[in-house]
Amino acid sequence: MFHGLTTRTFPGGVHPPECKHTSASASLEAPRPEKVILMLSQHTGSPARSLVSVGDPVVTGQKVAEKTGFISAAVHASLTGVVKAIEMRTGPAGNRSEAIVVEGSGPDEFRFLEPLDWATATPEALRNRVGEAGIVGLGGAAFPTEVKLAPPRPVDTLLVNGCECEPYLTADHRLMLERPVPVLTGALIIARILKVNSVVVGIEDNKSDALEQLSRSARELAGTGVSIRVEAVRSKYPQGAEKNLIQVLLKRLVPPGKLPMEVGAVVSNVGTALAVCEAVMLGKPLYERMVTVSGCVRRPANLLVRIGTPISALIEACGGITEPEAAVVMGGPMMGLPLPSLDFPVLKGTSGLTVLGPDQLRNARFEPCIRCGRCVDICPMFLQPYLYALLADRGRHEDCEAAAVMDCIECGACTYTCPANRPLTQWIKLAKTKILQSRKK
Amino acid sequence: MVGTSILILGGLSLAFAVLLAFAARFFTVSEDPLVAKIEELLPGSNCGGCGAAGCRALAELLAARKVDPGICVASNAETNAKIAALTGQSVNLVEKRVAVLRCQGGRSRVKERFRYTGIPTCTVANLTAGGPKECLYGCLGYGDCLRACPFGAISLGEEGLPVIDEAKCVACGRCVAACPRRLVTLISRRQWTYVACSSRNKGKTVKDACPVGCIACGLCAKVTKSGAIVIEDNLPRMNYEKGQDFEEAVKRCPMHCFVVRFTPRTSSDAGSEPAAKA
Repeated sequence: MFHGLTTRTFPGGVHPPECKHTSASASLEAPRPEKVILMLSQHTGSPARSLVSVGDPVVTGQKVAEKTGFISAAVHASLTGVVKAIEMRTGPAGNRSEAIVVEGSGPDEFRFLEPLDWATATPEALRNRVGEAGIVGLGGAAFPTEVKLAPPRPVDTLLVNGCECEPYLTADHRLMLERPVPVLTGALIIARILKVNSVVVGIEDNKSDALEQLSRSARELAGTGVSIRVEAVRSKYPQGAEKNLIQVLLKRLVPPGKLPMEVGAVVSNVGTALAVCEAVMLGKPLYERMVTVSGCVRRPANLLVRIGTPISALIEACGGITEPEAAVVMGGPMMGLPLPSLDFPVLKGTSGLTVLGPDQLRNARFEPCIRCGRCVDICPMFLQPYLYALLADRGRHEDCEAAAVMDCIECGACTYTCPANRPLTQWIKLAKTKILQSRKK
Repeated sequence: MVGTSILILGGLSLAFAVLLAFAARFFTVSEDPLVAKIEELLPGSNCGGCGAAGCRALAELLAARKVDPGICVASNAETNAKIAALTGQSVNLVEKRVAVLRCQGGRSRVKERFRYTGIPTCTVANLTAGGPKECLYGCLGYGDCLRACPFGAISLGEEGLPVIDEAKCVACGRCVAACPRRLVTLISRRQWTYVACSSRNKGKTVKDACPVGCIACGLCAKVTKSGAIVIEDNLPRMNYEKGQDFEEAVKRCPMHCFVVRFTPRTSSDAGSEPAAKA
């Protein structure tokens, strides 16, 4: 039914080994952590403001920090206990923000919001609920969903992203298999908020079981006036990049520097759709999420993890690291952030932890560019990574800007494909950082 | 045959010569000869320390008498006086400054949190989980500042920290903008000491990471009678205009954060740098 060579895809891209070791085993619930660290800046936008002080008792699901400004998100306690400290901490990307440390005590108590009937509630009420529940994009970028669901121009289609093109990660795959109806209900709720009547779910064809499962559930949910189409797309990296997904499924090109709404589309991850469904139908705030822990760990698994759980506790729950010189990456191996220690907490945007052994890590040695053009061939955004690397290395950041470096989505496909082992994405990040700096001035 | 070629080419060159002569006569852009003269005097390093886009742009501003003739930070006083003579203005002495590095946490003093294997630039290292250094405010030592310096005044020292050659530094500020952690600042050349730490962390965190980091104990502020030091953001802020009596602070700082550029003659007359360094 979903055959590899007949499915649609975008030009370019790479095929890293899939390594989806955890796709066949049912997800588990992670053990309750002793403490959680709730970063107040785990989303795109301004950090949240703490509503509690040291010594306050909190219960699971209680709002402990409110949003500040337009692009921001609330944070909820993920553990019942006492606020032990409010301290400055560094996130995995090097960003510093305050964090609320909650130490668990006693049995879990839950504080949920009032459930809503999504079919009768107004779109505004539903959107407010998404904001109250602190929901952000769970695919990785952690952009506040409430803001995304109020596009300043009309949209006609909701794309649900179930591609999960990063190697190792299977959290979205398991969600689609285990909770297909809530995922699609969440998509219908988002469609109601956006006032669109067309939902397209894009899934890579290496997940044929998820494709069949969601197609079946979509037929069950038919009759709401909103059409749900489940579409197979070819397994290729970065198929899940939203601009590429729009190009493949809707045959529309998002203009450079613009957002998907420019072409009338909103893209949402399957995990986000599930969180929206739970926030509306159960009143459950976003305090836990599915995380894939895979690679060099004794028992790779998909775990339902409370946000703020220390990474060390999560690794322990999976039986510990098997390789002595391994590196732990937050996210997948292509775009994930390497962690300098296991002292970091799980964030809302943490889709997985990949533990890479020494033989899987990149060799730091690189050679001069041989102008083979492979990076240009595979760049999903039709850019020239080799050129940016050469220019950025010489400090010519303005020339990078003129050559459209700002359109780069930093997917890392060029670095993966480079035969000279050049860290192209790093130079691109350098150029982008410098350009943003000079724009600010 | 040869004759035809000579005729055609000769005729063409004559025609173009006439055209060029015509253009030179009627389309010439008149320019203030002063601009060229001033540009001759300027260093030509295009450092941007004056705020203009380059030496040519500054020459135009100077010729239009829109800026002070002493504005060029890269020229010496003599050259600036020459420029002033050309424009017929007087130099209002612009205070000479110098770039200093506000970090002493070199390789042997501050541990690395992890091994960084990316491209050797401070900007990218800083983007990687906040940089490999234990201190999140300290110098990363990949030399973004020295690559930015148009005067070759910065080199990497043994400790992996940049060393600024004060004789070559003109305080154009390129290094200040290049450092992703803003560790280089410009201070007055008359200021004889400065605090070489930028950590806004609290004392304990600093002490865990670095043996020469400022722990914000406040002793320097207490012993400076003129009140020229106040603690802000866990760092001493020195107000040089208010007083120069920093001797006691330099002597008693438990973490040895103060770097002495030159010894002042007396406390009250601290304000002149030895001639050798000027």
